[in-house]
Amino acid sequence: MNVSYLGPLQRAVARARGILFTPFRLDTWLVLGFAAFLSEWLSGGWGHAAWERKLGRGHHGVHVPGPHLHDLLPALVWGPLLAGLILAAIVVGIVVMWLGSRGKFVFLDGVVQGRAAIVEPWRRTAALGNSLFLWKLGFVILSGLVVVGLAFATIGTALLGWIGFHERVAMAPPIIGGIAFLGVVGLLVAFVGLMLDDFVVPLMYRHGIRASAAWRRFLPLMREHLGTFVLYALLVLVLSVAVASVILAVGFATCCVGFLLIAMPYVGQVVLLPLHVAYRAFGPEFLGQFGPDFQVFVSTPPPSVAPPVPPSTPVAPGPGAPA
Amino acid sequence: MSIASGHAPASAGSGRGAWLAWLVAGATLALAWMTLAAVPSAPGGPVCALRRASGLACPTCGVTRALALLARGAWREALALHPWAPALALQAVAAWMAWAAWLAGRLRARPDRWIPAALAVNAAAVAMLWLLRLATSALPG
Repeated sequence: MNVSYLGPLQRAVARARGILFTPFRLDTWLVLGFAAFLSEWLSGGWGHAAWERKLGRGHHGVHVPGPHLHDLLPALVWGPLLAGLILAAIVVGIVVMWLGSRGKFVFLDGVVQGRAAIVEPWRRTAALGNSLFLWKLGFVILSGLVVVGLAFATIGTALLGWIGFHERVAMAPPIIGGIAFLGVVGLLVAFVGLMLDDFVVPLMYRHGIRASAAWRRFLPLMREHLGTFVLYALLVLVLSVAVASVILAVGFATCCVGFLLIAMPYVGQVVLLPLHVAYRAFGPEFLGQFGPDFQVFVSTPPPSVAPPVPPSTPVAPGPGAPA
Repeated sequence: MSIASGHAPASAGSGRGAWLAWLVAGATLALAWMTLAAVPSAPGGPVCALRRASGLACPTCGVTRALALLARGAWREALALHPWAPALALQAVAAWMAWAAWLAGRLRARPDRWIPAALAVNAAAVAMLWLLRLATSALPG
């Protein structure tokens, strides 16, 4: 089977041009930009936990003297405050993840149907978004536990060597091994995230199925063409570096005003909308090469003149009810 | 490929919301203009990262200061600092007026269709001016 990489990319760029520039309409950009904001900016939170770094401070030292009341008082004040902040951060993170999961389907719907809408696809794809959210939540918790466990094991080994329980030289291989394994786990998590966003989410949308069911459809294909999908991930990495270089050049050429615009939530998504739309279309276009079951884009008449879409039609999922 | 044809036909959206958005945009422009009048235009303030790193002014270096001078009525100095800044200000006013004309039904074509072309023309003009000023050592200090 001949799998093309440039063909889907060219079709995705053409699709972005068709949606955004023929004709150019500011309202389309503003609405689709909001969908991109929901989808891309909010769901960028696989690990946006600044509080984790803050937590790391001040807990490694060994207290030689015994605890005194004046030592405990700050802990009594800061402890609950810190716990409250952590809880609030977790709640905000979960809400943001839910919004991002719902937004994924709103944006994908906009790109597939070639239209700018928020409310209708938000309602129609509710069950798909909720299923994606639950899968993501489970995955984040699981990968978080693995990463934290590995980090504790590595740090523990290092501490044992540091305080002299073992020979320091003998500690080096497990520490290096632990860090390398953490790197591998990080790469795996990133790869799973990429496959989820680029292929599993479109499959959920295509068939109106839950995340686990979409993974069951996708995994046999990935096992069969593992090298192809790894190459796809590398291509995405190369494209990301290229795009980042162009953004860097434009940012510097505009007295950094470009950077400010791109960094602003929503405004950044509107400014970079052609990139977001092209990239959103790239994964489904690539997936479509593997047969009709994997084709998300089906040539349809414009939505305004299209006949009502029955729930079984594969282009869009039914009224939000996964199979 | 054109899959974006599911829009309603272009028409002058003359609803109250559209006029309100037009008013808000105008008020924002006016506020920005008044704020610019308070921006210091003398060199020595915060400058662009490219200039700090390479000593070379970027293509838009001086636009804010030139607009600030323009807001204070010093158009000659503004032109000297960045010749394209007055053109940008004029375009903003022209776009706002074109929006009103479209809302009032006096302009048939949607004015936003010109945005990509306007962006391309501005980018080309700024790049050409930068090259010209670079060649003649006329970039702002």
